[in-house]
Amino acid sequence: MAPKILVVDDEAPIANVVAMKLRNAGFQVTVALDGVEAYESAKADRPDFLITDLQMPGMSGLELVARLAAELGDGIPTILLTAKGFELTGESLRELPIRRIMTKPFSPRELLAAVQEALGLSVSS
Amino acid sequence: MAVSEITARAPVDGAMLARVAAETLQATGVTVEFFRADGSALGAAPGSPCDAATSRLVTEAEATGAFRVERHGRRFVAAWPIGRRGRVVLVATGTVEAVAGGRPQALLAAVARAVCAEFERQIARAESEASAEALAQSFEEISLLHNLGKVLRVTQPVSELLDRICIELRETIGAEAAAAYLPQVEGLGPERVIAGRLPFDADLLPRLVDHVLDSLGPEQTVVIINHCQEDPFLAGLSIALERLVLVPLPLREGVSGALVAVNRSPGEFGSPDAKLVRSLTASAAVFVENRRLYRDLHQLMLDLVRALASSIDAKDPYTCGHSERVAITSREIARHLGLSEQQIEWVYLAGLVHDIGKIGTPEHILRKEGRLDPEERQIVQRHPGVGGHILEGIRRLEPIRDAVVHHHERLDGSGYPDGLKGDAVPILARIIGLADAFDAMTSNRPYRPMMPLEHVRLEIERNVGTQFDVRAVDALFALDMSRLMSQFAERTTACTAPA
Repeated sequence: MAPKILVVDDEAPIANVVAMKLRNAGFQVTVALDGVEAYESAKADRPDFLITDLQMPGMSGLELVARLAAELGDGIPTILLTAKGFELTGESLRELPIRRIMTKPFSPRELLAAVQEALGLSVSS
Repeated sequence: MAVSEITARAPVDGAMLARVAAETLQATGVTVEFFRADGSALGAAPGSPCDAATSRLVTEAEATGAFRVERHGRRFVAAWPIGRRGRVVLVATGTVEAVAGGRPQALLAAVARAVCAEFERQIARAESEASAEALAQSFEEISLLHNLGKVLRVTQPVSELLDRICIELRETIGAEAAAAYLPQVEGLGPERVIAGRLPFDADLLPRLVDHVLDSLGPEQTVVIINHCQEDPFLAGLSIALERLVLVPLPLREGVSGALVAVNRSPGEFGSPDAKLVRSLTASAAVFVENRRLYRDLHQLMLDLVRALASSIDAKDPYTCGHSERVAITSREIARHLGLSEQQIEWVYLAGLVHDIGKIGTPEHILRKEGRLDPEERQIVQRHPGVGGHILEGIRRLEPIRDAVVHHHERLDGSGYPDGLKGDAVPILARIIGLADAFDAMTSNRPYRPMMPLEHVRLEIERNVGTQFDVRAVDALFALDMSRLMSQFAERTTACTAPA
C-alpha cells in the first residue's frame, strides 16, 4: 500500500504541484486548502505523512501539527513549508514531529527527495 | 489530420478514445467510433473503413456542428462533433441496433452528451496535469535561481559559480552530466567545469562546443540535439553522446562559451530544459561580466596605487622600485605567516604606499648623502603621519592606513610617530617595517653600499624583539630569496640606474 500523504496549502497551485509530484512518485495524495480542512481530513483518514504550509488563514500549519500531535498520540511526521524569511525557533517546535522546514521558493524535486528520505524510502533519481 | 495535430490543440490520445468507446459500449450497447472531419477513423480502429452513409453523416455533423441521427434498416447511426474552444476537433459516431421498446434516438443523444462531457473532463485533466507539470518546472527554476542568487558574490572566482550551476543543472533536469566551458578571455582564465560524468574525454569539450556553436543560426539562443549520432561530426567522434541541450554564453564580441547538459535516460530534452539552461546561462553571463568588470576595476586601482608609489620612488633614484619590493616582500612574509587572503592583499597595498608621505619631504633631505641633522631627521620622521593623511578618505584603502602610519614603530617603543609598544604595533605595520629595513639593507644607498645577505640577517636578528617581530623575521628568512629576487625583477624593470 502506497503511503498516504496529506498536502496542505492555501495556495492551490502550490498544493497541486506538490500533489502531482508525489502522485507521480507513487504516493496516495489528499489535498486540503486550509488548516481546518486538513485537520478534519487527517482525523477522518490518518495520513502517513503531512506536508503543510505554515501561514494559512484560520488554522496555521503549526497549530495543525500541534493539534494532530496532541489528539493522535504519535504525531504525523511533517515537512513544514514557509515563506522566505519566516523564522521558526523555540521549544514548541522541538516537541513537534516536524522533520524538516523548507523555505519557499522550494524545489519540488528536493521536497520529494525529503519525503522519501523521511519515510525511509530509497530515493529515486 | 493526424492525432498529433489534434493533440497539439487538445491533449487527447488514441488510448483515451479507445477507453471511452469501450466503456460506452459496455454501459449502453452503443458502438462509438471517432473520426477526423474528413471521415477517416481515429482511436479505436484507426483506418477502418467507413461506409458512405456514415461518412456523409460525419461530414454533416462537422459542417453543422450539430447532432445528427439516421435510421439504416435496424441500425440507428448518430454523428456529433466534439469541440474544444469553439472548434470541431473530431467527430464521434454512435451505432445501436433497434430493440423492441427501446428509444434508440434518445439513447444516442444521451451517449453523445456523455461522450462530450467525458472528453471535456479528460482534456481538462490532461491540461491541468500539464499546467502542474509546467508549474513544477517553474518552481524548480525559481528555486534554483533563488539559491544561486544567494551565492553570487563578485569577489568569488567564476569557477565556483559555474561549479554550482553545473551541479544544480544536472540534478534539476536529470542529465548524466552538465558542463560549462569558457574559452580564454582577458582577465579570466579558460574555465571548464563539469558535474557528473561526461560520456567523453573532457578535452573534447571545447571542440564539441565550437562545433555546436558553429551550427547556431542567427538569433538562435539554444540548441537541442536529441539524436547526436545523426550529426556527422558528433558521430565521427565515436563517443557515447546521445543528446544534448546547449546554450551559448556570450563573453565578448564574437567570443562565446557554453553551458551544456548531456544525455538523459529516459526522455529527450525539450523546451522546459532549454528554458532552464537559458536562465542559468543568463545568470552566469551576467556574473562573468560583473566579475570581469570587478577585475578591471581592481586592476585599475592597483595600477593607480603603483603609479603613486613610483612617483615617490622617482624622487630619489636610489630608492627606485623600493615600494614595489617592500610590497612584494611584505606579501610573501604575510603569506608565510598564514594570514588571510584579504590581509595578504592589504599588506601588499600598504607596502606599495608606505612611503607616500615622503611626497612632502624635500628632495635635498631625501637625497642627502651622510647623516641627517636632528632637524632633518624630524622632517623625515613626519612621513608616516603625512602618508596617513593622504590616504584618509580613500575608503578602499582605509584598512591599510594604520599599517602606513605605524611602519616605523619599534616593538620596544622607540619608534615613531607614536612610540607604540609590543602588541600595540599592528601586525601589518610590523611586517612592512621589517620588509622596509630588509630592502634598505639589501639595496645600495647614498650613505653605504648594499650589504651581503649574511650581514643583513645578523643585523636583523640582532634587533629581534626590540625593533622586529620574531615571527615575521622567521618568515622572512624562510622565504626562497632567489624566487623573491625574480619577483622583484618582474615588477621593477622600469628603473634607471642612479647617475
